[in-house]
Amino acid sequence: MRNLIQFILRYKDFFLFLTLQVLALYLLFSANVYHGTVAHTVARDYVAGMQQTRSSMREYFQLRQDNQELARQNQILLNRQRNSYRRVDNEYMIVDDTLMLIQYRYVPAQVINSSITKQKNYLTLNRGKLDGINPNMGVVTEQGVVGIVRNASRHFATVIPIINVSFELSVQTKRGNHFGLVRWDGKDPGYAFVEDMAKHADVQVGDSIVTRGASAIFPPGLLIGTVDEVEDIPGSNFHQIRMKLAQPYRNMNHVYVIQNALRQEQLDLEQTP
Amino acid sequence: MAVVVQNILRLLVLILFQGLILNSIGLWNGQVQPMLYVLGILMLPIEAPVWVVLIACFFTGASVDLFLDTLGMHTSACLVLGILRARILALFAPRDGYEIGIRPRIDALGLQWFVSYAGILILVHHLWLFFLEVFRFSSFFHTFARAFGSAIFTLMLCVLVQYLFFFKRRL
Repeated sequence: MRNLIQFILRYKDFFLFLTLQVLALYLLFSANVYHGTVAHTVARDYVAGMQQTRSSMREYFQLRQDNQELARQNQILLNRQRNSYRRVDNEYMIVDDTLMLIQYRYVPAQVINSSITKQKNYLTLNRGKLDGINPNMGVVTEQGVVGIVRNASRHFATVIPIINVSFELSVQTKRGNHFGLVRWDGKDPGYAFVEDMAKHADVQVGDSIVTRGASAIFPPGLLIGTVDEVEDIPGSNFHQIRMKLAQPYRNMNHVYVIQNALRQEQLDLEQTP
Repeated sequence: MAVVVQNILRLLVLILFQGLILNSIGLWNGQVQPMLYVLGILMLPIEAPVWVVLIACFFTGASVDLFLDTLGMHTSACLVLGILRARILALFAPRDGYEIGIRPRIDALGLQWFVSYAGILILVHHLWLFFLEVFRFSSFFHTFARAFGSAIFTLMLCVLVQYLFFFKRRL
């Protein structure tokens, strides 16, 4: 026993290293479990608070671009206003009545932290459960799709963007409605790949890739990117498609989270055996 | 006691600097990224016992992980750095050993000593970190180039910070 204690004392540094290293690797490889623990949530809240301060300072540097973007959106909205239109006939009239049901609602949010340099990039938004944000909601900007909400605390939410190697989304081409799957290869944050699109599908460089609306996360038809390169490997049944992402991830500030009011109903139905 | 407080403060400042500012800096689409916070561990006193260094490494890595949301990754790389530090220090020791109370800084031990000491440790730390992040060897050279480039970037920043803030003027 004494020898054992002496042995441990002699190599105490190495044993300490081993213990801490195992702990670190355990945390790393079971990260999804530990993201929910109290200690982690509390610590994360402090960090998120600091990051929010930083992002509120950084906002001043982007005021010009933000203003231009807002003016552009205002223009689009003003153009859509009813009194901007003139009736072309007197026979029919469109009435917005209870026959129309709102399915998708857009909640504005701000990106307070983001990364583009890692394999598993994440965004943090300044909206959480109290604002009606829940996991598996879509996140978009006016330019295109950003990602999917992974986790939500009371005041914050984390998002898996397209540029995360574990991101997957079912998509289609706008022109031919051919289905595919978007993935990222972990290298260039400006580009992603569309996989599993059959070779007979007619895909050209410049085609738009849009959402399918298959998993009740995004409404169908939202832009994700444009085809940049189509490569056909002999012996494979699928196109190899490189896609330029519509939403640049650098300097992203304002995003919208999409609430799908009918999501639960769709999922319930789909799960019925 | 003053030394302890001084070192903890230095680590805290470097962690905050890393978490709030440096993480948004990256060259070539963020493929190359500096990790200046390792300087805090490199500058711990030479005679600090290894277990103290390891504990400091653990908490430093864990704090950086909180900022980056990479639970455990930087912690693991920091621990590797911490256990190797003593060996590397012994490897580059002057013939009569280090003077008591001397600090691992450029103004005390010279630029060449610091670059070889910090360079090796930073390279190991970055290789561990980047390969742990990717966790496959399929794009080996891509990952290696990223780690190597980032290590050079980090080393340059470390030397720069030493010249800017930790230089005792000798008349």
